[in-house]
Amino acid sequence: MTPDQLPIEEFLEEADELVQDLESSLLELESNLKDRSIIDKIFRAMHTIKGGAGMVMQSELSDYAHHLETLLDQVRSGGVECTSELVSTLLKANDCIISFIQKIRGEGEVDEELKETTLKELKSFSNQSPQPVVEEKKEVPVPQKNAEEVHQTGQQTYLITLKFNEDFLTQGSDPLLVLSQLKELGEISVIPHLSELPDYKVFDPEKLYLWWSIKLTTEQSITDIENVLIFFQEGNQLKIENIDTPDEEQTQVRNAHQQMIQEAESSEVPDKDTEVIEKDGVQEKEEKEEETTQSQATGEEDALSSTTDNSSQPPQKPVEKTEETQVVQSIRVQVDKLDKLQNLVGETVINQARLMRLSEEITAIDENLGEMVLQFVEDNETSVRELQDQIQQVRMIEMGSIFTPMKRIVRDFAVKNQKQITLDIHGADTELDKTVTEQLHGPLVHLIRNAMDHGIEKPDERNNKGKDRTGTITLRASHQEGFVIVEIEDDGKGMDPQKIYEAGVRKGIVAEGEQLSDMEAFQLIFQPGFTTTTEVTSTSGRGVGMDSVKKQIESLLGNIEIQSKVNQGTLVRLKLPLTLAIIEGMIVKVGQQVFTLPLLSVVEALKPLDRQVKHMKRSGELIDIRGEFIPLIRLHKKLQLKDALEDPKEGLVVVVQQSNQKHCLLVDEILDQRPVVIKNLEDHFIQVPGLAGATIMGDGSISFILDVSSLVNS
Amino acid sequence: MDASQANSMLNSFDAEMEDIELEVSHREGTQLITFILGSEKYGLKILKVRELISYPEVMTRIPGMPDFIVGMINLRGLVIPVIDLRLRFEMEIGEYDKYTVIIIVQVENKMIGIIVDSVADVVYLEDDKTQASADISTNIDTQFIQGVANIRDDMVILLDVDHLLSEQELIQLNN
Repeated sequence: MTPDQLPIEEFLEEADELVQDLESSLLELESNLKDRSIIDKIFRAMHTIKGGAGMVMQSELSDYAHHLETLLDQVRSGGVECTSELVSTLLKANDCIISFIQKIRGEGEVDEELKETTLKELKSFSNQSPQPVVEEKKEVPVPQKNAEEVHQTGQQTYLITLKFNEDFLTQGSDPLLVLSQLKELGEISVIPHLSELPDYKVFDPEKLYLWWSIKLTTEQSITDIENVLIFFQEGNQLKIENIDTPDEEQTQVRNAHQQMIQEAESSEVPDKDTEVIEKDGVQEKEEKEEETTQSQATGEEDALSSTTDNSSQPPQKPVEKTEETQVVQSIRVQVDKLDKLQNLVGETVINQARLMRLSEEITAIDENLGEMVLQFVEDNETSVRELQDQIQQVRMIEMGSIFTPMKRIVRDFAVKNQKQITLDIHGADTELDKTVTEQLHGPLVHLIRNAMDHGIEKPDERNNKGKDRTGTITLRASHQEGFVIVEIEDDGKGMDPQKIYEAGVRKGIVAEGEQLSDMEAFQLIFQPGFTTTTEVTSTSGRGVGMDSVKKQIESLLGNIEIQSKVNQGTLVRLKLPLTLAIIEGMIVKVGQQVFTLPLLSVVEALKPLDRQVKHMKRSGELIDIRGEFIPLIRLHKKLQLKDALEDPKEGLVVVVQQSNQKHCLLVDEILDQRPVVIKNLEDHFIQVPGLAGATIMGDGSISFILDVSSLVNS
Repeated sequence: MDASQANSMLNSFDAEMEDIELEVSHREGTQLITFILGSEKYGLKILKVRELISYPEVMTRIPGMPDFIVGMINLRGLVIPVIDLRLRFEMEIGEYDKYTVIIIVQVENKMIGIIVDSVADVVYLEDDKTQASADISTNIDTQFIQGVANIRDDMVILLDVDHLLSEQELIQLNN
């Protein structure tokens, strides 16, 4: 294989996922140091990275992963104790692997320093005097003394059930290989089960329908058996049981098993009898799982006889519940392919709207024909809607993918700054468009850093205030009215609007003596430049780069709001559209032109009365809405349009909210409210301030989507 | 596969081969599309041209833009800005008629429509027949001009489309 043909892309994609899994597993392990299943998971991931790196000729990475794998193996066998220091080192090592991956991708260099320190630390762990071999926790209950006893008394017998997933063969695995590996461990007898075999009409030669029961008598420990099966744990139903205990119940099971084997051996041809037998096997296992007392030992015979009687029944449903894993089939698709698909669907949506208009026109000329066309167009509408929903669904990913990495950030920060912080995550399964989710990562990190740095106090300080020594940051995501709401809340010291106001005056952002509501004061921290002096941040306690956070959120056509109470904490709320491709729009007319306002920023629309319109010398025009004075922006003036209504009492005002600020926009009339497909203007030669994009109307004309934030701020 | 199928496949293969030979027999040089603006003939590299369309029924004006950016059009779902080359070159305003053509130009991934009086021809420009723009003088600004060429005894002004559409140019004009 030449270097060009190496599956580098595939490796990198897989590695990205693996390091992510590794990180979350390690964080999980940190709070559950003794959990064998997590250690196994980490070991498997590390092994896969090593193997993958080897395959794409990245020997440096594969060597590094090998060191880690060796250590992890020692941890698994109990030779090295799993401590929080070890987990810390492994986390660092994971970062190092990420730098390897970046280098392979051509985006950076390997962090040599980190590599050296982690290797040194790894070595110090494996040099520790080995702990007494005590098997901590097993997936299968095995007597504690087992490991040592085995070597003294010799052989043990295990019943192994291998029920691989249907696609086992197409995934490139070979059950025969597994069987022969097991054979090397000791004396085995194998019974294949044909119960899952379908009718030959639907038989797919690439699928695996067989499953096996194996009796293995060996001197090796159960760990050795597990090692053979370790890479098949996920997605397959595998079970290892020790059936060599002198327990009466166990003997029963063993006898039944032996009987089963004998019967199987005597009937070579797979016929109804085998079916009965394997059902017995299944039944036994079920029995064994359920039975907790010896008194039920006799129940087994009943079960045996009852299944024999029912042998004419169709094959039994799958029995094992313990390791039930749902296997979801998936393929990887490049995002730009999805983008193209989404664009095409967007076109279809627009064309559908045009078809609808056309059919109305036809109806005006020929009612019968029009009726037929309309019928068809309406049918088509259903499919188009469905198509649009489905493609949107495909692009959705769970917010958890950006929430989970925050755990690491919080952990590292807390350790470094001697703070105690818990991160509570709610609604990690809330789905959002992939692009939006990815672009949310930066702002989220920023907001969480702020909350940790400026919000949460040191433990002693919290103690003095009568709060829990451990601060809590809550990350919440939820769906509301077709939007996604993300909240970042801390129970830290909060912000004092008065102090922000004073700092604003000092910075010259607010005029001295100007009255600001608390909401307006919080608004100040979004001002660029508000944060530049350390003095301000230390007094206001917040605001590093909040203007850039606000900009990023607004570029996603989202909205950011902030609430805070001194000593109670701060809440930042982000309101985001589900997708960047289609938004809910309010279609308005100004002069001769039609514009679209993102519904996300619209609060209400009204026709003001004469007494509601106030003129102020300095602030321009204000509209009095239920006692709240909201500045009026004349859209026709802002956009330099002719022939528009100029009297607010004749037109309409649409109240929009951006961050904590409200504005009234004067428009001629509201035409419609519906989902619109966003056409990005960023790809063009011409950048237009005040416009967030364009959309195509049903008649094929273009309507610009107004960028509310840049309109009100310019 | 039966014999007739095989035959038709062979035939289509032959046809493809002929196409390839045709390509090869072309002369060395650049293919240009020529168009008329006022009394002069201009040339544009054909590889930059995506398509030609007539002046559309609906043109949406962009608020706050200079006059030469006449608006945006919907080209089968793509939203494309359109500039009027006469206005860009500060020539007198022309009437849009049935000969008016919008040349859709694509540079990198960006697209823009250019309104011209009419399209003339597609010609080959041999490499050694170009003169640099410094040597010539016309009544338009030479910054958008790559040079002139003599093609079939006709003077063709070569438009520098990349420069015409460069971002700094447009931003400058926006301000």
